[in-house]
Amino acid sequence: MVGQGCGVGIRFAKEKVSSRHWVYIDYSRHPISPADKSLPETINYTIRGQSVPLSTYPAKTLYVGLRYDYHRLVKTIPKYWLKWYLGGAIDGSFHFYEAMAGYNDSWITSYALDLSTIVKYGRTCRQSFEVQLSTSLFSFVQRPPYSTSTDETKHSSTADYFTKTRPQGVDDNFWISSLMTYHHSVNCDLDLTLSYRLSYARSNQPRPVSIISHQIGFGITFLFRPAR
Amino acid sequence: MKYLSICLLFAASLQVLSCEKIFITQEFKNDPAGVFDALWTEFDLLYPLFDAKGINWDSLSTVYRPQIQANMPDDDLHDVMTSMLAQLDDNHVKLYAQGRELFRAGSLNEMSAFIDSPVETFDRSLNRYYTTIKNEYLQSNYRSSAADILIFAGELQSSLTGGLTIGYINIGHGSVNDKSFISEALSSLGSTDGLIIDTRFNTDGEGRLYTYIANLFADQERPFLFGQARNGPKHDDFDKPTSWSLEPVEDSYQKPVIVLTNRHTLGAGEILVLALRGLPHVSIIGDTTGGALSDVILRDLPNGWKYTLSNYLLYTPSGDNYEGIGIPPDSGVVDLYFHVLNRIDQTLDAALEFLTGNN
Repeated sequence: MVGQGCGVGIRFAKEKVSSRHWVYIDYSRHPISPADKSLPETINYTIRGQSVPLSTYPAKTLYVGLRYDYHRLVKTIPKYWLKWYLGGAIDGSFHFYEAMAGYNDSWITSYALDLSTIVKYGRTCRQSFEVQLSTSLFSFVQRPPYSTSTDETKHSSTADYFTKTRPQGVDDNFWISSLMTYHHSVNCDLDLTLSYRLSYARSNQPRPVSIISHQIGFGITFLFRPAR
Repeated sequence: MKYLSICLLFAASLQVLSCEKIFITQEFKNDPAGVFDALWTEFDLLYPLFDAKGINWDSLSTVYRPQIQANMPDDDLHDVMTSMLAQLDDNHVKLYAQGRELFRAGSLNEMSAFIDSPVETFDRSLNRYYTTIKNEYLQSNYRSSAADILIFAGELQSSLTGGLTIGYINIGHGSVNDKSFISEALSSLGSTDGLIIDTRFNTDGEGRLYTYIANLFADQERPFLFGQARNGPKHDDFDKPTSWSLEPVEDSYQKPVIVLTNRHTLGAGEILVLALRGLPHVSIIGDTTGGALSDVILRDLPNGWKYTLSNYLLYTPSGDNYEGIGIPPDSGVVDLYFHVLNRIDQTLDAALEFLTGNN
Protein backbone atom coordinates (compact mmCIF):
# COMPACT_ATOMS: atom_id res chain seq x y z
CA MET A 1 0.00 0.00 0.00
CA VAL A 2 1.09 3.55 -0.63
CA GLY A 3 0.12 6.76 1.10
CA GLN A 4 1.06 9.95 -0.67
CA GLY A 5 0.27 13.52 0.27
CA CYS A 6 1.36 16.77 1.81
CA GLY A 7 1.22 18.26 5.25
CA VAL A 8 2.30 21.20 7.35
CA GLY A 9 4.36 21.53 10.47
CA ILE A 10 5.83 23.97 12.91
CA ARG A 11 9.08 23.81 14.87
CA PHE A 12 10.21 25.83 17.85
CA ALA A 13 13.89 25.85 18.68
CA LYS A 14 16.07 27.24 21.41
CA GLU A 15 19.76 26.99 20.62
CA LYS A 16 22.90 27.80 22.54
CA VAL A 17 26.49 27.12 21.59
CA SER A 18 26.50 23.88 23.51
CA SER A 19 22.94 22.63 23.30
CA ARG A 20 19.82 22.61 21.15
CA HIS A 21 16.16 22.14 22.13
CA TRP A 22 13.60 21.56 19.40
CA VAL A 23 9.86 21.01 19.55
CA TYR A 24 8.05 19.88 16.41
CA ILE A 25 4.35 19.59 15.61
CA ASP A 26 3.44 17.94 12.30
CA TYR A 27 0.15 17.32 10.57
CA SER A 28 -0.55 15.42 7.38
CA ARG A 29 -3.44 13.65 5.71
CA HIS A 30 -3.04 11.06 2.97
CA PRO A 31 -5.19 8.87 0.80
CA ILE A 32 -4.04 5.25 0.84
CA SER A 33 -3.90 3.36 -2.43
CA PRO A 34 -2.46 0.09 -3.73
CA ALA A 35 1.29 0.20 -4.34
CA ASP A 36 0.71 -1.35 -7.75
CA LYS A 37 -0.41 1.59 -9.88
CA SER A 38 -2.33 -0.70 -12.21
CA LEU A 39 -4.76 -1.44 -9.37
CA PRO A 40 -7.70 0.90 -8.75
CA GLU A 41 -8.02 3.06 -5.62
CA THR A 42 -11.71 2.29 -5.39
CA ILE A 43 -13.80 -0.64 -6.56
CA ASN A 44 -16.79 0.02 -8.81
CA TYR A 45 -19.46 -2.61 -8.36
CA THR A 46 -23.13 -3.33 -8.73
CA ILE A 47 -25.72 -5.03 -6.57
CA ARG A 48 -28.07 -7.47 -8.22
CA GLY A 49 -31.47 -5.95 -8.82
CA GLN A 50 -30.29 -2.44 -8.01
CA SER A 51 -29.75 -0.08 -10.91
CA VAL A 52 -27.30 2.40 -9.37
CA PRO A 53 -23.59 1.48 -9.71
CA LEU A 54 -21.62 1.97 -6.50
CA SER A 55 -18.02 2.55 -5.47
CA THR A 56 -16.03 1.78 -2.35
CA TYR A 57 -14.57 4.65 -0.34
CA PRO A 58 -10.86 5.35 -0.71
CA ALA A 59 -9.01 4.79 2.55
CA LYS A 60 -7.33 7.79 4.22
CA THR A 61 -4.94 8.37 7.05
CA LEU A 62 -4.38 11.36 9.27
CA TYR A 63 -1.17 11.92 11.19
CA VAL A 64 -0.37 14.33 14.00
CA GLY A 65 3.08 14.20 15.51
CA LEU A 66 4.67 15.94 18.50
CA ARG A 67 8.39 15.61 19.12
CA TYR A 68 10.92 17.09 21.52
CA ASP A 69 14.64 16.83 20.65
CA TYR A 70 17.54 17.68 22.92
CA HIS A 71 21.14 17.59 21.70
CA ARG A 72 24.45 18.59 23.28
CA LEU A 73 27.51 19.58 21.37
CA VAL A 74 30.03 16.78 21.80
CA LYS A 75 32.80 17.80 19.54
CA THR A 76 33.82 20.60 17.20
CA ILE A 77 36.26 20.03 14.35
CA PRO A 78 37.09 23.56 13.10
CA LYS A 79 39.38 22.25 10.40
CA TYR A 80 36.41 20.69 8.58
CA TRP A 81 33.76 23.16 9.81
CA LEU A 82 32.00 20.27 11.57
CA LYS A 83 30.03 20.04 14.79
CA TRP A 84 28.87 16.77 16.30
CA TYR A 85 25.86 16.67 18.61
CA LEU A 86 24.51 13.74 20.58
CA GLY A 87 21.14 13.56 22.25
CA GLY A 88 17.73 12.08 22.28
CA ALA A 89 14.11 12.73 21.59
CA ILE A 90 10.69 12.01 22.96
CA ASP A 91 8.25 11.35 20.18
CA GLY A 92 4.49 11.05 20.32
CA SER A 93 2.32 10.49 17.28
CA PHE A 94 -1.31 9.90 16.52
CA HIS A 95 -2.41 8.02 13.38
CA PHE A 96 -6.04 7.88 12.40
CA TYR A 97 -7.04 5.44 9.70
CA GLU A 98 -10.37 5.70 7.94
CA ALA A 99 -11.24 2.71 5.77
CA MET A 100 -14.93 3.41 5.21
CA ALA A 101 -16.00 7.00 5.73
CA GLY A 102 -17.93 7.29 8.96
CA TYR A 103 -18.21 3.56 9.56
CA ASN A 104 -14.88 1.92 9.96
CA ASP A 105 -11.97 3.70 11.49
CA SER A 106 -9.11 3.08 13.80
CA TRP A 107 -6.29 4.88 15.46
CA ILE A 108 -2.87 4.17 16.78
CA THR A 109 -0.79 6.31 19.08
CA SER A 110 2.87 5.69 19.58
CA TYR A 111 5.40 7.08 22.03
CA ALA A 112 9.10 6.64 21.62
CA LEU A 113 12.33 7.52 23.32
CA ASP A 114 14.96 7.94 20.62
CA LEU A 115 18.71 8.12 20.49
CA SER A 116 19.80 10.79 18.06
CA THR A 117 22.96 12.27 16.65
CA ILE A 118 23.55 15.27 14.41
CA VAL A 119 26.53 16.23 12.31
CA LYS A 120 26.48 19.83 11.14
CA TYR A 121 28.63 21.25 8.41
CA GLY A 122 28.77 25.03 8.24
CA ARG A 123 31.55 26.63 6.26
CA THR A 124 29.91 30.02 6.07
CA CYS A 125 27.43 31.81 8.30
CA ARG A 126 24.91 31.95 5.49
CA GLN A 127 24.70 28.26 4.72
CA SER A 128 24.85 25.03 6.65
CA PHE A 129 24.04 21.41 6.09
CA GLU A 130 23.26 18.83 8.71
CA VAL A 131 22.46 15.16 8.93
CA GLN A 132 20.50 13.70 11.80
CA LEU A 133 20.22 9.97 12.50
CA SER A 134 17.67 8.73 15.04
CA THR A 135 16.63 5.32 16.21
CA SER A 136 14.16 4.13 18.82
CA LEU A 137 15.57 2.98 22.13
CA PHE A 138 12.16 2.28 23.50
CA SER A 139 8.78 2.58 21.88
CA PHE A 140 5.29 2.01 23.04
CA VAL A 141 2.29 1.62 20.77
CA GLN A 142 -1.27 2.06 21.94
CA ARG A 143 -3.78 0.55 19.52
CA PRO A 144 -6.91 -1.57 19.42
CA PRO A 145 -5.81 -4.95 20.68
CA TYR A 146 -6.22 -7.00 17.55
CA SER A 147 -9.06 -6.04 15.33
CA THR A 148 -8.50 -2.42 14.37
CA SER A 149 -12.06 -1.24 14.29
CA THR A 150 -14.04 0.49 16.99
CA ASP A 151 -17.62 -0.34 17.71
CA GLU A 152 -19.90 1.97 15.82
CA THR A 153 -22.83 1.62 18.18
CA LYS A 154 -21.25 3.85 20.78
CA HIS A 155 -18.62 5.41 18.60
CA SER A 156 -17.28 7.95 21.00
CA SER A 157 -13.77 8.53 19.77
CA THR A 158 -12.46 9.59 23.15
CA ALA A 159 -14.15 6.79 25.06
CA ASP A 160 -13.13 4.20 22.49
CA TYR A 161 -9.54 5.32 22.65
CA PHE A 162 -9.36 4.60 26.35
CA THR A 163 -11.50 1.47 26.35
CA LYS A 164 -10.55 -0.15 23.06
CA THR A 165 -6.84 0.35 22.80
CA ARG A 166 -4.14 -1.65 24.53
CA PRO A 167 -0.40 -1.17 24.81
CA GLN A 168 1.57 -3.44 22.51
CA GLY A 169 4.88 -5.01 23.41
CA VAL A 170 7.82 -2.64 23.54
CA ASP A 171 10.09 -5.13 21.81
CA ASP A 172 7.83 -5.41 18.82
CA ASN A 173 8.47 -1.99 17.37
CA PHE A 174 11.55 -0.51 15.76
CA TRP A 175 12.11 2.80 14.09
CA ILE A 176 15.10 4.45 12.38
CA SER A 177 15.22 7.73 10.55
CA SER A 178 17.65 9.97 8.76
CA LEU A 179 17.02 13.65 8.19
CA MET A 180 19.13 15.86 5.95
CA THR A 181 18.59 19.59 6.17
CA TYR A 182 20.07 22.47 4.21
CA HIS A 183 19.79 25.92 5.82
CA HIS A 184 20.16 29.14 3.91
CA SER A 185 20.19 32.35 5.88
CA VAL A 186 18.37 35.14 4.06
CA ASN A 187 19.08 37.73 6.74
CA CYS A 188 19.47 38.01 10.51
CA ASP A 189 15.83 37.17 11.07
CA LEU A 190 15.05 34.64 8.41
CA ASP A 191 16.31 31.22 7.29
CA LEU A 192 15.05 29.02 4.50
CA THR A 193 15.38 25.27 4.89
CA LEU A 194 15.12 22.35 2.54
CA SER A 195 14.93 18.90 4.08
CA TYR A 196 14.67 15.25 3.17
CA ARG A 197 13.71 12.53 5.61
CA LEU A 198 13.94 8.80 5.02
CA SER A 199 12.56 6.54 7.72
CA TYR A 200 11.83 2.90 8.32
CA ALA A 201 9.48 1.49 10.93
CA ARG A 202 8.66 -2.08 11.76
CA SER A 203 6.01 -3.48 14.05
CA ASN A 204 5.65 -7.22 14.64
CA GLN A 205 2.39 -7.53 16.56
CA PRO A 206 -0.24 -8.62 15.86
CA ARG A 207 0.93 -8.88 12.24
CA PRO A 208 4.34 -7.95 10.89
CA VAL A 209 4.28 -4.68 9.00
CA SER A 210 7.10 -2.51 7.67
CA ILE A 211 6.67 1.09 6.64
CA ILE A 212 9.18 3.05 4.60
CA SER A 213 8.48 6.73 4.20
CA HIS A 214 10.31 9.52 2.52
CA GLN A 215 9.46 13.15 2.92
CA ILE A 216 10.64 16.33 1.27
CA GLY A 217 10.04 19.55 3.13
CA PHE A 218 10.45 23.25 2.58
CA GLY A 219 10.48 25.56 5.58
CA ILE A 220 10.81 29.17 6.62
CA THR A 221 12.52 29.88 9.94
CA PHE A 222 12.02 33.10 11.87
CA LEU A 223 14.90 33.84 14.22
CA PHE A 224 14.65 35.73 17.50
CA ARG A 225 17.82 36.77 19.28
CA PRO A 226 17.70 38.21 22.77
CA ALA A 227 18.74 41.85 22.99
CA ARG A 228 22.31 42.31 24.24
CA MET B 1 27.19 35.22 31.01
CA LYS B 2 27.24 37.86 28.34
CA TYR B 3 28.77 35.34 25.94
CA LEU B 4 25.94 32.90 26.56
CA SER B 5 23.22 35.44 25.93
CA ILE B 6 24.78 36.39 22.63
CA CYS B 7 24.72 32.83 21.49
CA LEU B 8 21.17 32.14 22.62
CA LEU B 9 18.81 31.86 19.68
CA PHE B 10 15.10 31.27 19.50
CA ALA B 11 13.63 30.09 16.25
CA ALA B 12 10.15 29.35 15.01
CA SER B 13 10.19 27.40 11.83
CA LEU B 14 7.15 26.91 9.68
CA GLN B 15 7.29 23.78 7.60
CA VAL B 16 5.38 25.36 4.73
CA LEU B 17 5.03 22.15 2.83
CA SER B 18 6.17 18.61 3.34
CA CYS B 19 5.29 16.01 0.78
CA GLU B 20 5.56 12.44 1.78
CA LYS B 21 5.22 9.00 0.30
CA ILE B 22 4.70 6.00 2.56
CA PHE B 23 5.20 2.41 1.47
CA ILE B 24 3.56 -0.20 3.62
CA THR B 25 4.81 -3.67 2.93
CA GLN B 26 2.41 -6.54 2.46
CA GLU B 27 2.82 -10.07 3.67
CA PHE B 28 1.22 -11.65 0.61
CA LYS B 29 2.00 -11.52 -3.09
CA ASN B 30 -0.35 -10.34 -5.79
CA ASP B 31 -0.97 -13.75 -7.30
CA PRO B 32 -3.89 -16.19 -6.83
CA ALA B 33 -2.22 -18.01 -3.94
CA GLY B 34 -1.24 -14.74 -2.25
CA VAL B 35 -4.73 -13.29 -2.62
CA PHE B 36 -6.40 -16.43 -1.28
CA ASP B 37 -3.95 -16.74 1.62
CA ALA B 38 -4.36 -13.07 2.54
CA LEU B 39 -8.12 -13.52 2.73
CA TRP B 40 -7.99 -16.81 4.65
CA THR B 41 -5.36 -15.56 7.11
CA GLU B 42 -7.10 -12.29 7.91
CA PHE B 43 -10.36 -14.10 8.60
CA ASP B 44 -8.48 -16.64 10.69
CA LEU B 45 -7.05 -13.85 12.83
CA LEU B 46 -10.02 -11.49 13.07
CA TYR B 47 -13.35 -13.20 12.43
CA PRO B 48 -15.14 -13.62 15.77
CA LEU B 49 -17.98 -15.96 14.81
CA PHE B 50 -16.31 -19.28 13.94
CA ASP B 51 -17.28 -20.91 17.23
CA ALA B 52 -20.69 -19.24 17.39
CA LYS B 53 -21.50 -20.58 13.92
CA GLY B 54 -19.76 -23.94 14.38
CA ILE B 55 -17.36 -23.39 11.47
CA ASN B 56 -14.04 -25.20 11.14
CA TRP B 57 -12.02 -22.62 9.21
CA ASP B 58 -8.98 -24.89 8.88
CA SER B 59 -11.02 -27.55 7.14
CA LEU B 60 -12.32 -24.96 4.66
CA SER B 61 -8.72 -24.18 3.80
CA THR B 62 -8.14 -27.88 3.25
CA VAL B 63 -11.04 -27.96 0.81
CA TYR B 64 -10.52 -24.69 -1.08
CA ARG B 65 -6.76 -23.94 -0.98
CA PRO B 66 -5.88 -26.86 -3.34
CA GLN B 67 -8.26 -25.36 -5.92
CA ILE B 68 -5.97 -22.34 -6.30
CA GLN B 69 -3.76 -22.58 -9.40
CA ALA B 70 -0.80 -20.35 -10.20
CA ASN B 71 -2.24 -18.75 -13.34
CA MET B 72 -5.94 -19.18 -12.80
CA PRO B 73 -8.17 -16.42 -14.23
CA ASP B 74 -9.74 -13.88 -11.88
CA ASP B 75 -13.19 -15.34 -12.51
CA ASP B 76 -12.09 -18.72 -11.18
CA LEU B 77 -10.27 -17.20 -8.22
CA HIS B 78 -13.40 -15.19 -7.41
CA ASP B 79 -15.49 -18.36 -7.56
CA VAL B 80 -13.22 -20.28 -5.17
CA MET B 81 -13.05 -17.41 -2.71
CA THR B 82 -16.79 -16.73 -2.71
CA SER B 83 -17.54 -20.46 -2.36
CA MET B 84 -15.40 -20.53 0.77
CA LEU B 85 -16.87 -17.31 2.19
CA ALA B 86 -20.42 -18.52 1.52
CA GLN B 87 -19.85 -21.20 4.19
CA LEU B 88 -19.85 -18.41 6.77
CA ASP B 89 -23.49 -17.54 6.00
CA ASP B 90 -22.83 -13.96 7.06
CA ASN B 91 -24.45 -11.03 5.25
CA HIS B 92 -21.73 -8.72 6.56
CA VAL B 93 -19.03 -10.69 4.77
CA LYS B 94 -18.71 -9.09 1.33
CA LEU B 95 -16.23 -9.31 -1.51
CA TYR B 96 -15.81 -6.25 -3.74
CA ALA B 97 -14.14 -6.98 -7.07
CA GLN B 98 -13.72 -4.38 -9.81
CA GLY B 99 -16.64 -4.27 -12.24
CA ARG B 100 -18.41 -7.24 -10.68
CA GLU B 101 -21.57 -7.79 -8.80
CA LEU B 102 -21.08 -7.48 -5.04
CA PHE B 103 -20.83 -10.86 -3.37
CA ARG B 104 -22.50 -11.18 0.03
CA ALA B 105 -21.82 -14.38 1.93
CA GLY B 106 -25.35 -14.71 3.24
CA SER B 107 -28.97 -14.87 2.29
CA LEU B 108 -28.95 -11.33 0.84
CA ASN B 109 -26.80 -12.42 -2.10
CA GLU B 110 -29.75 -14.14 -3.73
CA MET B 111 -32.59 -12.48 -1.88
CA SER B 112 -35.33 -10.56 -3.64
CA ALA B 113 -37.18 -7.74 -1.94
CA PHE B 114 -40.19 -10.02 -1.39
CA ILE B 115 -40.39 -13.80 -1.51
CA ASP B 116 -42.66 -13.62 -4.57
CA SER B 117 -40.70 -10.96 -6.53
CA PRO B 118 -37.62 -11.64 -8.69
CA VAL B 119 -34.24 -10.54 -7.34
CA GLU B 120 -33.55 -8.69 -10.61
CA THR B 121 -36.38 -6.23 -9.91
CA PHE B 122 -35.28 -5.39 -6.36
CA ASP B 123 -35.25 -1.60 -6.92
CA ARG B 124 -38.60 -1.57 -8.67
CA SER B 125 -40.26 -3.74 -6.01
CA LEU B 126 -38.88 -1.53 -3.26
CA ASN B 127 -40.08 1.67 -4.94
CA ARG B 128 -43.56 0.20 -5.27
CA TYR B 129 -43.52 -0.76 -1.58
CA TYR B 130 -42.51 2.76 -0.45
CA THR B 131 -45.13 4.29 -2.74
CA THR B 132 -47.77 2.06 -1.16
CA ILE B 133 -46.86 3.21 2.35
CA LYS B 134 -46.72 6.89 1.39
CA ASN B 135 -49.89 6.94 -0.72
CA GLU B 136 -52.11 4.41 0.98
CA TYR B 137 -51.19 4.70 4.65
CA LEU B 138 -49.56 8.03 5.48
CA GLN B 139 -51.29 11.36 5.61
CA SER B 140 -50.12 13.56 2.76
CA ASN B 141 -48.20 15.92 5.04
CA TYR B 142 -45.56 13.35 5.96
CA ARG B 143 -41.96 14.63 5.99
CA SER B 144 -38.71 13.13 4.80
CA SER B 145 -35.27 13.69 6.28
CA ALA B 146 -33.18 16.11 4.24
CA ALA B 147 -30.18 13.86 4.82
CA ASP B 148 -31.81 10.62 3.75
CA ILE B 149 -34.95 9.94 1.71
CA LEU B 150 -35.33 6.53 3.32
CA ILE B 151 -36.22 8.23 6.61
CA PHE B 152 -39.70 9.71 6.66
CA ALA B 153 -42.39 10.25 9.25
CA GLY B 154 -45.95 11.35 9.67
CA GLU B 155 -49.35 10.36 11.03
CA LEU B 156 -51.24 7.46 9.53
CA GLN B 157 -54.50 8.17 7.71
CA SER B 158 -57.33 8.47 10.22
CA SER B 159 -59.53 6.13 8.15
CA LEU B 160 -57.13 3.31 9.10
CA THR B 161 -56.71 3.97 12.81
CA GLY B 162 -60.19 3.55 14.29
CA GLY B 163 -60.30 7.01 15.81
CA LEU B 164 -56.80 6.85 17.29
CA THR B 165 -53.91 8.99 16.17
CA ILE B 166 -51.00 6.77 15.22
CA GLY B 167 -47.58 7.97 14.15
CA TYR B 168 -45.24 6.27 11.72
CA ILE B 169 -41.48 6.62 11.34
CA ASN B 170 -39.70 4.75 8.56
CA ILE B 171 -36.03 4.20 9.27
CA GLY B 172 -34.82 2.62 6.06
CA HIS B 173 -31.27 3.81 6.59
CA GLY B 174 -29.63 6.27 8.89
CA SER B 175 -26.63 8.31 9.81
CA VAL B 176 -25.97 10.74 12.63
CA ASN B 177 -27.04 13.48 10.21
CA ASP B 178 -30.61 12.27 10.69
CA LYS B 179 -30.60 12.84 14.47
CA SER B 180 -32.39 16.16 14.44
CA PHE B 181 -35.01 14.93 11.97
CA ILE B 182 -35.81 11.90 14.14
CA SER B 183 -35.92 14.01 17.26
CA GLU B 184 -38.24 16.59 15.68
CA ALA B 185 -40.42 13.90 14.10
CA LEU B 186 -40.86 12.19 17.44
CA SER B 187 -41.66 15.51 19.13
CA SER B 188 -44.36 16.21 16.58
CA LEU B 189 -45.76 12.69 17.08
CA GLY B 190 -45.47 12.85 20.87
CA SER B 191 -49.21 13.27 21.41
CA THR B 192 -50.16 10.23 19.30
CA ASP B 193 -51.84 7.19 20.85
CA GLY B 194 -49.25 4.83 19.43
CA LEU B 195 -46.29 4.71 17.12
CA ILE B 196 -45.00 2.41 14.42
CA ILE B 197 -41.26 2.29 13.73
CA ASP B 198 -40.56 0.62 10.42
CA THR B 199 -37.11 -0.96 10.11
CA ARG B 200 -37.90 -3.18 7.11
CA PHE B 201 -35.25 -2.89 4.39
CA ASN B 202 -32.87 -1.20 6.80
CA THR B 203 -29.68 -2.92 5.69
CA ASP B 204 -27.26 -0.23 6.68
CA GLY B 205 -26.73 2.68 9.01
CA GLU B 206 -24.77 4.08 11.86
CA GLY B 207 -25.28 2.30 15.16
CA ARG B 208 -24.81 5.50 17.14
CA LEU B 209 -27.97 6.93 15.50
CA TYR B 210 -29.91 3.84 16.44
CA THR B 211 -28.88 3.84 20.09
CA TYR B 212 -29.85 7.53 20.12
CA ILE B 213 -33.28 6.61 18.72
CA ALA B 214 -33.75 3.73 21.16
CA ASN B 215 -33.00 6.05 24.07
CA LEU B 216 -35.97 8.21 23.03
CA PHE B 217 -38.21 5.26 24.00
CA ALA B 218 -36.36 3.95 27.03
CA ASP B 219 -38.10 3.78 30.40
CA GLN B 220 -35.03 3.05 32.51
CA GLU B 221 -31.39 2.23 32.07
CA ARG B 222 -31.15 -1.33 30.78
CA PRO B 223 -28.31 -3.26 29.20
CA PHE B 224 -29.42 -4.81 25.92
CA LEU B 225 -26.26 -6.08 24.28
CA PHE B 226 -22.74 -7.25 25.00
CA GLY B 227 -19.95 -7.24 22.44
CA GLN B 228 -16.49 -8.73 22.23
CA ALA B 229 -13.80 -8.37 19.57
CA ARG B 230 -11.00 -10.80 18.82
CA ASN B 231 -7.77 -9.98 20.60
CA GLY B 232 -5.60 -12.94 19.71
CA PRO B 233 -4.87 -15.55 17.08
CA LYS B 234 -7.00 -18.31 18.60
CA HIS B 235 -10.64 -18.37 17.55
CA ASP B 236 -11.76 -18.00 21.15
CA ASP B 237 -9.39 -15.14 22.02
CA PHE B 238 -11.72 -12.27 22.92
CA ASP B 239 -11.47 -8.90 24.56
CA LYS B 240 -13.47 -8.21 27.71
CA PRO B 241 -17.18 -7.71 26.95
CA THR B 242 -18.42 -4.21 26.30
CA SER B 243 -21.94 -3.58 27.54
CA TRP B 244 -24.41 -1.40 25.66
CA SER B 245 -27.29 0.03 27.61
CA LEU B 246 -30.35 2.11 26.99
CA GLU B 247 -30.18 5.48 28.69
CA PRO B 248 -33.59 7.12 28.89
CA VAL B 249 -34.08 10.74 27.95
CA GLU B 250 -36.50 13.12 29.61
CA ASP B 251 -40.06 12.74 28.28
CA SER B 252 -39.29 9.52 26.44
CA TYR B 253 -42.16 8.07 24.39
CA GLN B 254 -44.03 5.58 26.62
CA LYS B 255 -47.18 4.81 24.62
CA PRO B 256 -47.50 1.56 22.64
CA VAL B 257 -44.82 1.14 19.99
CA ILE B 258 -44.72 -1.45 17.21
CA VAL B 259 -41.41 -2.15 15.45
CA LEU B 260 -41.75 -3.64 11.97
CA THR B 261 -39.03 -6.02 10.76
CA ASN B 262 -38.26 -8.27 7.82
CA ARG B 263 -35.38 -10.32 6.44
CA HIS B 264 -33.79 -7.12 5.14
CA THR B 265 -33.53 -5.60 8.61
CA LEU B 266 -29.81 -5.97 9.13
CA GLY B 267 -26.80 -4.73 11.06
CA ALA B 268 -27.41 -1.53 12.96
CA GLY B 269 -31.13 -1.91 12.17
CA GLU B 270 -31.06 -5.12 14.19
CA ILE B 271 -29.27 -3.34 17.02
CA LEU B 272 -32.21 -0.92 17.13
CA VAL B 273 -34.67 -3.84 17.21
CA LEU B 274 -32.75 -5.52 20.03
CA ALA B 275 -32.56 -2.27 22.00
CA LEU B 276 -36.29 -1.65 21.68
CA ARG B 277 -37.68 -5.12 22.08
CA GLY B 278 -36.83 -5.38 25.76
CA LEU B 279 -39.07 -2.40 26.55
CA PRO B 280 -42.47 -3.24 28.05
CA HIS B 281 -44.42 -0.97 25.67
CA VAL B 282 -42.75 -2.27 22.48
CA SER B 283 -43.78 -5.21 20.28
CA ILE B 284 -42.07 -6.56 17.17
CA ILE B 285 -44.22 -7.49 14.17
CA GLY B 286 -43.02 -8.83 10.82
CA ASP B 287 -40.51 -11.39 9.63
CA THR B 288 -37.32 -12.56 11.35
CA THR B 289 -34.45 -10.12 10.80
CA GLY B 290 -31.45 -10.84 8.57
CA GLY B 291 -29.08 -11.98 11.34
CA ALA B 292 -25.97 -9.87 10.69
CA LEU B 293 -25.62 -7.64 13.72
CA SER B 294 -21.91 -7.10 14.03
CA ASP B 295 -19.95 -4.05 13.03
CA VAL B 296 -17.73 -4.67 10.01
CA ILE B 297 -14.19 -3.88 9.00
CA LEU B 298 -12.97 -3.32 5.47
CA ARG B 299 -9.73 -4.87 4.24
CA ASP B 300 -7.72 -4.85 1.01
CA LEU B 301 -6.40 -7.82 -0.89
CA PRO B 302 -3.09 -7.74 -2.77
CA ASN B 303 -4.90 -7.68 -6.14
CA GLY B 304 -6.92 -4.57 -5.22
CA TRP B 305 -10.14 -6.37 -4.31
CA LYS B 306 -11.66 -5.44 -0.97
CA TYR B 307 -13.70 -7.36 1.52
CA THR B 308 -15.55 -6.81 4.76
CA LEU B 309 -15.84 -9.09 7.73
CA SER B 310 -17.85 -9.01 10.93
CA ASN B 311 -15.62 -8.13 13.84
CA TYR B 312 -17.81 -8.38 16.92
CA LEU B 313 -19.38 -11.24 18.76
CA LEU B 314 -22.64 -9.74 19.99
CA TYR B 315 -25.05 -11.35 22.42
CA THR B 316 -27.94 -10.30 24.60
CA PRO B 317 -27.86 -10.20 28.42
CA SER B 318 -29.53 -13.63 28.35
CA GLY B 319 -26.69 -14.96 26.17
CA ASP B 320 -28.58 -15.21 22.85
CA ASN B 321 -26.54 -14.67 19.71
CA TYR B 322 -28.58 -13.92 16.60
CA GLU B 323 -25.79 -13.93 14.01
CA GLY B 324 -26.89 -16.00 11.03
CA ILE B 325 -30.23 -16.64 12.73
CA GLY B 326 -32.00 -13.29 12.98
CA ILE B 327 -34.20 -11.80 15.68
CA PRO B 328 -37.64 -13.42 15.74
CA PRO B 329 -40.68 -11.12 15.90
CA ASP B 330 -43.33 -11.28 18.62
CA SER B 331 -45.90 -11.72 15.88
CA GLY B 332 -44.90 -13.10 12.47
CA VAL B 333 -46.05 -11.61 9.16
CA VAL B 334 -44.34 -12.13 5.79
CA ASP B 335 -44.93 -9.43 3.18
CA LEU B 336 -45.82 -10.48 -0.36
CA TYR B 337 -45.21 -8.43 -3.47
CA PHE B 338 -48.61 -9.59 -4.65
CA HIS B 339 -50.13 -7.50 -1.84
CA VAL B 340 -47.85 -4.54 -2.50
CA LEU B 341 -49.00 -4.53 -6.13
CA ASN B 342 -52.52 -4.32 -4.74
CA ARG B 343 -51.43 -1.39 -2.54
CA ILE B 344 -51.61 -3.41 0.66
CA ASP B 345 -48.92 -3.57 3.34
CA GLN B 346 -49.74 -6.66 5.37
CA THR B 347 -47.25 -6.04 8.14
CA LEU B 348 -48.39 -2.46 8.60
CA ASP B 349 -52.00 -3.68 8.64
CA ALA B 350 -51.09 -6.19 11.36
CA ALA B 351 -49.46 -3.40 13.40
CA LEU B 352 -52.56 -1.24 13.03
CA GLU B 353 -54.77 -4.09 14.12
CA PHE B 354 -52.59 -4.57 17.18
CA LEU B 355 -52.63 -0.89 18.12
CA THR B 356 -56.34 -0.35 17.50
CA GLY B 357 -57.25 -3.50 19.38
CA ASN B 358 -58.83 -5.18 16.39
CA ASN B 359 -56.52 -8.19 16.40
